[in-house]
Amino acid sequence: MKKHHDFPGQRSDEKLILLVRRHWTKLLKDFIKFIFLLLIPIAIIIVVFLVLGLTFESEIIYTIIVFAVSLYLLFIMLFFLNDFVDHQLDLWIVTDQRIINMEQEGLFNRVISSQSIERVQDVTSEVKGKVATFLDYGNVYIQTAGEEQRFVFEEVPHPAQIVKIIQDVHDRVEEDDEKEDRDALVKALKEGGINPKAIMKNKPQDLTSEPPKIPNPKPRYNRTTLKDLNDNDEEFL
Amino acid sequence: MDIPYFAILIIYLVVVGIFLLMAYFNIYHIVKWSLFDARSKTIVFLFIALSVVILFMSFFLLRGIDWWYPLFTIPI
Repeated sequence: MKKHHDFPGQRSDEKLILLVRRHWTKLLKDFIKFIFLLLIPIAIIIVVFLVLGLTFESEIIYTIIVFAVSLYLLFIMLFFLNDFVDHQLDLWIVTDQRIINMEQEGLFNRVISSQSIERVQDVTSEVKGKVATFLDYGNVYIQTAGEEQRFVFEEVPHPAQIVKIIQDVHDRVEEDDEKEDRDALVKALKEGGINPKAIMKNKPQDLTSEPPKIPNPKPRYNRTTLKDLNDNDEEFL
Repeated sequence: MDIPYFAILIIYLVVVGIFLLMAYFNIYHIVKWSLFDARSKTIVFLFIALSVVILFMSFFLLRGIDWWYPLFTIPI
């Protein structure tokens, strides 16, 4: 039976936390461009044949116009599909193990990079401009300790929430790691015949209490005072 | 030598072939790499349906053309 994957390249023990694409405003801009381009030949046909009253006198011109309009419509649809594919294939994924950046650059160039969630050092969100503020979308910058030092989630919706999610996942993973380390230490101590509870009972010394008084040590030699020296000088005189 | 209307049709079919190839790659990418969700399915369906309608309309509008009629003559 084929195993279900939430995203392409998912590991068998990996849990999807977050999957984001660019905000829909980018797609809306592409759609408006598509509609505008779609209306151009329709407007030309209306003006030429209905307003100016021109007719197809030559069969060859008629054939060429039909072919040209047909190809024009097919290709503007193709360009819109291309924009849509580009939008759909630019994915940013957060799992319980890593952060994945999938970007489609053109039709035959796909870049996939991932970084362990433990390597995340700093996460910052940025919302720039009136529209972005109003619609709540922007960039999320993820600073990591890896080779690819900075991941950028570009124009993603709700960047502040994404930052919180990444920080939560990172903290949880770190806590789990610490717990695993502790468990491993306890296991190792037990295997070595040491009771970890006994170590825990040895409380550290209380540094707030008064330190014990140490009696003055007995001088190992008789101190010579200034007076003694003066007395001795008198003897010399 | 007479060049028939058929020559324009061949040019048209070559460009349609390029269109189909590019459309295939786009759809392949969307199915393989993207999550083929409802939105993707809708867009792909609309794209295929509209493409079929445009191609059908083009051939419908040109159904009366005699493709063997000479477009122009090349003197040899």
